[in-house]
Amino acid sequence: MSNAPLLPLSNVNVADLTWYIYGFAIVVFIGYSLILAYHWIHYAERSESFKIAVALYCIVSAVLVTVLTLSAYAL
Amino acid sequence: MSETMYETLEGDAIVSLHRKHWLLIIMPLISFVLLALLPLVLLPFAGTTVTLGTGTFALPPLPLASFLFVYSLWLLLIWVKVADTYTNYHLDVWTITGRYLSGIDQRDLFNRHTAVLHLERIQDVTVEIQGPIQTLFNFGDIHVQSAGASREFIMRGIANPNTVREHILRGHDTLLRAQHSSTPSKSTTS
Repeated sequence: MSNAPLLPLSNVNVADLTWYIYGFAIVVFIGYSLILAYHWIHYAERSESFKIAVALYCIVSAVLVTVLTLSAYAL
Repeated sequence: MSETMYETLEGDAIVSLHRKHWLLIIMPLISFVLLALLPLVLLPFAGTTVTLGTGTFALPPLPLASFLFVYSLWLLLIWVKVADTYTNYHLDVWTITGRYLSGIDQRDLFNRHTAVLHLERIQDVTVEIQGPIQTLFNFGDIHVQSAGASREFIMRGIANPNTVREHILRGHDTLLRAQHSSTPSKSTTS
C-alpha cells in the first residue's frame, strides 16, 4: 500500500490553485446567474423595485468579479 | 399592471396582488450581512497567536491580495444566495382576479407550486396571526376552505391579512351577485 497523500497539496503551485478556485467560482457564478435570469424572465413581475434589484445584482456582481479577478492576478 | 407576467385564465383581470410581509425577506438579509462581515471580524487575528483554553494557536499572516481573493469569493457566494432569497420572495405571490384566487409558492428555484381556486367555491376564510412579531407588524396566515376541496388553500406570512381576507370575500360576493343577476330563475346561496 502506497503512503502517498490523497491530495498532494505540497506539489500544488499557489498560483495554479488560485486559478483553479477562480475558474470554479466563475463557472458556478455564471451558471447560478443564468438560472436566476431564467426565473426573472419567465416568472417575475417587472415592477420598478424588481428592475432596481436586478440592476443592483448586475452592478455588485460586476464589482465583486472584478475584485476577484484582480486579486487572482496579484496572487 | 401591463408588464405583469402572471397568467390569468381566459383574460381574467387581476384585481389585487399580494406578497409575503417584508419582514420575511429582511430577516434572512440581516443574517447574510452578518455572514458578509464575519471575515472582517476575524481579520485582526491574522498573524497573531491566539490562546484558547490551554492551547495556543499561531494564525498565519494574510497578505492583502490573498485576503481580497478569499473575501471577494466569500462575498460573491453570499451575493448569489441573497439574489436567490430575493427571487424566491419576489416570485411567492397571490393574485385575486374577478373569478379566481391563485397562489404561487416558490419554495426554491426548482420547487414551484401553483394553485388556482374558484372564488365562487370559497366557503370559509380564516386569518391566523400568531405571536407578538406578527401582531406588531401585521402579517400572518390566511386559510381558505373551498367546497369539495380536500385540503385548504394556505397563504403564509402575508402582509395585511385582514385586508386580503376582505378582498377575497368581496370578490366572492361580487361573483355570486353577478351570477345571481344573470340567471334570475336559478336560486343561488351565498
